[in-house]
Formats: sequence, structure tokens, C-alpha cells
Amino acid sequence: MVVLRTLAAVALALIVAIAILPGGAGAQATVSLKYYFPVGVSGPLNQLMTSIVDDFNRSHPSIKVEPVFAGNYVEAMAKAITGVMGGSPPDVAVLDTPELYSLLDHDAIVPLDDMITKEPKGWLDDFYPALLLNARSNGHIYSIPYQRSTVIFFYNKDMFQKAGLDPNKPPKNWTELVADAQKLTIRDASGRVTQWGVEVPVVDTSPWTIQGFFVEQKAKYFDTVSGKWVKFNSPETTSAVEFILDLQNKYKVHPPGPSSPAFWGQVPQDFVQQKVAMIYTTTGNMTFIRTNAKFNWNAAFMPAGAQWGSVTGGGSMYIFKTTPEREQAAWTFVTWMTNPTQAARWSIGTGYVPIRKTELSTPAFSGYMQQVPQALTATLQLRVAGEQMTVHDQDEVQQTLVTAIQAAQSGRLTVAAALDQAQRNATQLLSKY
Amino acid sequence: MSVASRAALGERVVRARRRGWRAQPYLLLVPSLVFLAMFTYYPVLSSLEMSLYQLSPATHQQHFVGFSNYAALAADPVFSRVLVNSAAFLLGTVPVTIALALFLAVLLARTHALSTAFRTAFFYPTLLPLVGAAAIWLFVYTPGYGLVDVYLRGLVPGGVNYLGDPRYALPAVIALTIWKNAGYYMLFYLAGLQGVALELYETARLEGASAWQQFRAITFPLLAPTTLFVLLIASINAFQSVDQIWVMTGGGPDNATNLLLFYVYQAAFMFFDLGKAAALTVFLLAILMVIAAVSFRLLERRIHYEV
Repeated sequence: MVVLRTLAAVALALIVAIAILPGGAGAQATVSLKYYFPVGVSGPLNQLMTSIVDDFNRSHPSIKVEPVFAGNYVEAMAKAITGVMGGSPPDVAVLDTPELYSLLDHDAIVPLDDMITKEPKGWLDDFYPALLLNARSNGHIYSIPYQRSTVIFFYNKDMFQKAGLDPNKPPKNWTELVADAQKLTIRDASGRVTQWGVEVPVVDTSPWTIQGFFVEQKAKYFDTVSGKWVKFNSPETTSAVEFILDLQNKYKVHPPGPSSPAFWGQVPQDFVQQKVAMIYTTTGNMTFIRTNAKFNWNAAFMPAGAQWGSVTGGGSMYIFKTTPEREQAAWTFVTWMTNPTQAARWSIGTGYVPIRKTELSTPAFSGYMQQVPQALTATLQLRVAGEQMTVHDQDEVQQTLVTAIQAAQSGRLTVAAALDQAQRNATQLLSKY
Repeated sequence: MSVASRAALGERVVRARRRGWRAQPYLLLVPSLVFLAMFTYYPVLSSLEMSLYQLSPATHQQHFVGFSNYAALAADPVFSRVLVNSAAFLLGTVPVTIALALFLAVLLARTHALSTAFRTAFFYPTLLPLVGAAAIWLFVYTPGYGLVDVYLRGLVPGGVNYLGDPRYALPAVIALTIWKNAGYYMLFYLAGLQGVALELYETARLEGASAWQQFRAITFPLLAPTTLFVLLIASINAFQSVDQIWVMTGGGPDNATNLLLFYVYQAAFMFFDLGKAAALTVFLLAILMVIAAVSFRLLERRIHYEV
């Protein structure tokens, strides 16, 4: 009995001690932050991210950031929202930028205006304006650009040479694109295509690349202020989708059939395997192409439609609603991660576009640009890039457009009927906002 | 103490002891019951409840909506597409996989020099994680330089974009699933064949029965319990398929490969429409329960041969 009582007393003392100890060390309180990050392009980026975060932790003893690899963008968003709904959100996360309204509808994130005003004057102006377009809603700013990309055009200079085209003159507009693609499409004796002129993954898990064509046709296809409406079936959007179908069916310079996530992955692969002469893909694939292409290649602007254009994409940093203390620590982390030196480190390691102007003059980036002059093309194209569709119920609205474009490409519906259907479904989804 | 009360006390003791005796099996079941309750019964009941609510994301408030989530499913054209796809997937995978597994098992039942090597070869796909196998087959189906397109190019002029074409995408996923599972079911048949008495074949041969007759009259009927078991497992597997869809097609193109479980995933974790996801889950559970109930009835009743 005595033994039992002694044991109980010891146990009690231990429990009390454990309860008190962290309070005792409270003077040196460290804030632990959970940081979710996705990886959207190939490469050993996990390690790079971990070493960047380690450097932050070493230079900020009062904050400890724990990086959590959260899968691709869709999975990262699912993890973050599940955390929010279960009452344990991450403190800070890199998420697909257009998730803005989904995050707001879950009351998950905080506006950053107050924290930005406390930064040195002009801090925000150093970021490229195109990248900040879909960070804003109703006059507030909710995210800071981090791993941003844009749709860009790559072409095989050796194939241009062989086809009798000037390898330093990529197509400037859609007409030239068709003409070049016709010269670059090669068929064998049986009529089988051995080399395609061009490949455009218009839709993957989201309707991303097609939006570059929408911008080129000056389409106003969604509510840029409060994300409450879309306009998928305008003459401008219809003409963009019809142009893609013409490449496939009329000119036969593009593989037939619907675009898909598999096609998205296949396009850069086809390019380095020399199965296609010109491709549209994300700047995020530049490192992949640079290391795998055994021929001369170049990057160029997307050939112009009614105007020059492209679309931005990629992830931005969001701060989640927690406590003022944690939100402040998260902000310290965000400003450090996006400072020119760290931003350059991430851009060079991944191929994502530079996010701010002073990043270009860092020694690391100047060196990189001499090695890969093509990296500048993406940055220059940002001037004409439009913002990616950012609306309420983002993923479901996107899905209606993906399905519609696939239906048009497979010939199940006409372009007009497919886009009408997407418009109807999206309008119904958005009617509750 | 009166005689009567003493008798009553004795009876109580006996009853209590009997009750105590009865508690023991339940106590032994407690550990597994706890886990079943946590990971099976509770989620099932919770899905049933959630399917009657609509979650408002901003406030995390649930509104009771009765059966309107189910009504919305009935009116959802994608859901009917998903049902057709799931039925096609079931009919495309299960009979072929079982036939192939049985065929391989009968071929490899008798031990000869190479049977171990062949058994290993056919069983090997089972050892791969489905996600990995799907990633490999994604490359196999690549138009232009993928294995399948390279070898079948001659048959279809111009080649086929298997996963990109809504007509071929589901059959392409079905082919992978058959390849992945046939070896696994073969193992069950090999085990089943161990239980078939060799004298039966000897007698049949004395009677002059052909190989096909032996198969029809002896092997197939005696393997019926195995067949039924494999049928059950394979049907449930068909409704639980999601990995290969996730890796290879994302349910597309144009919803051509969207299966029930993937649709649940989309509704829950891409669109956060938890009411719809719960209604779909209940629907899926109902299907699985019907399959299980029918199979167990059959297992108990008909198929029990003594030799």
C-alpha cells in the first residue's frame, strides 16, 4: 500500500513538473509554426525547401518553422482545408493562388494589408504587378507571390533549321504559328505523323493553358473584383477554343483528342524526345528542358492572338487565422522567404519566374541569367500576362470548364454547346454567392 | 433469513455468475470492437448523418436538408455517367480477371521445372503498389513512344492516344487492373486446387474423359467456393478502385474514367461538398453491402462439396 501511494505521489509530482516546465522557460518563448508546401514541378525540391527553412530557423531563434510537404496543389489544399475544418489549420501555406475565395469562404485566412503597411515604403511595389492581380479581392490583399509561373512557348531550333525556317524567328501570331506548324509536321510514307508541329495542353487538372489564349483574345471571362461570375461562352472564348480545334482537326498539326493531366506531363517529355517542334507549357519546366534537351532550343512569348498575352499561375503564401502572435510570426517568415536573396534561390532551383524586380539584380540571379538567357523571356512576358481565373467554388467551376473543353476536343459537343454547358453549370454553382 | 429469501439470493448468485460467464467473450472481443467502432461503425453512422446535412463552409454550420443531397444526385448527369462507368468497370474487370486467374492456376497447378518461375512471374504485379504500377502504365500508354502504341501501331493507323481518348481511356484502365489482379486471384485458385483429390482425375482418365471434360466435371465445380470467394473480393475491389484513376486520368477525359470512389474523393476533397460526398459514400456502402450479403448467402447455401 505504501509503495503504491509513493508511486502515485511521484507520478503526480512528475505531472505537475511537466505542466510547469514550459511556463518556466517562457521567457525564451519560441513560436512553432506549421508550414505546408506543395511541389508542382519535378526535381529534388523537397531538399531545397528544407534547407531554406533550416536557414530561416537558424537566423530566427524565436520562431521555429516546421515544413510539411503536402503533395501537389490539390492535395495541399485538401490538407489545409481539412485542418481548418478540424480546428488545427497550418499557420502558413503555399497554395495555388486562385484558391483565394475557397479559403475566404472557409474563413481560413487573414488579410495582409496591415502587416504590409508596417513594411518599408515601396515593399509591395517591388513585386511584379501581374503576380499580385489575383492576390486581391474587394480592396484587400490576401497572398504574397512565391512560386509563380506563366505559360510560355518553347521551340526546337534544330527542327526550324531543318524545315527551312529561321531558328531565331519564332511565330509571332496565330497565323504564323499555323504556317510554321504545317512545315514542322512530318508524316512517313503511310501517313503516320513522326513529328508534330505543335502541342498545347489546354487543360490538365485545371483549365490553365487555355486561359492564356482567352487573354490573347481579350476575353473578360470572370469577375476579377469579387469572383462571383464567369463568362465562358463569349465570342472571344469560343474563338480561342476553336483555334485549338483547328490546329487538331483542320490543319492536323497537333495530336487529335482531348487534353488531360497525362497530356500535360507528356508535352515536355515529347519535346525533349523530339516528337514535337513547338510546345506550350509552364516556365516551371524550363529546368527539366534545359537538363534533358539534346538540341538547340529557345523560349519565346506565346504567339499573339488579337493581342500578346499569357496567364500567370503557381502558388502564393497564405497566412491562416490563428492568434495575432502566430500570425505575426508567420508574416516574419513570409517576408524572409520572399526577400530577394531567398526568392532568387528558389527561382533558380525550380525554374519558377522571379517574383520581384530587385531579385534580378542579386548576384545569384545575374549569374543564372548568363547561363540560361531564356529565363528572362518569362519575366518579360509577365508584362502582358493576365491573371488566372479566381472565383468562389474554384475547383468545381474549373472542372466544368475542363470537362467542356474535353467534350469539344473529343467531338462529343460543338464548341458552342460545350461552353454553354460549362456556363450553365458554373452559373448554378456561383448562384449561392 | 427465510428459506424463500435464501433461495432468491442463491438464484441471484447463479444468475450473476452466469452473466459474468457471458461477459467473458465480449471482453475478449473488446479490443477489435474498439477499433471496428472507431474506424468502421462510427464513420459509417457519421456518413449517414452527414448525408442529411449541407455544410456551410464559412461558419462550419450544418443545415438539415433531409434527402435533398440524394435528390441532387439523382439529377446529376455526372453521377449517372459515373454509375455507367462503374458498371462497365465491374463487368470489364471481374469476369476476365477471374477467368484468367483460373486459367493460369490450372496451367501451373502441376509442378514441373518452370512452374515456380511462372508462378512468380504472374504473381509479381501483385507485389507492386498500385500507384507505382499505374505510373508505369501511364508511360506504357504514352502515344508515340509508349510500349503499347509502339507495338500496336500497325493495327490502328495513326496510333491511338489511349488515355486521352474517351472511347479507350476506361478500357485502358481496365487492362491495367486485370494485369494487376489476375496473379493475386490465381493464388487463391492454386490453393483451391490443392484440395481437389487426384483420384478423381485418375478415375476420369480411366473413363476416357478429355482434359476439357475433366475441367468441366471436376475442377470447375469443386473450385466453386474459391470462385465465389474471388468473385466477392474482385467485385468489392472494382468498387474500391481509385489509385489508378488518380494517377492515370484524374477521372477524365470528359469524365470517361470517373468511378464511384473517385467521385467521392472529388466531392469531398476537391470541391468540399461534404453533404454530397456523404450521400455518395452511403450509396457506395449500400452497393458493397448488397454484394457481401448475396455472396455470403450463396456461400452458406449451395456450394459445399464433400469428397
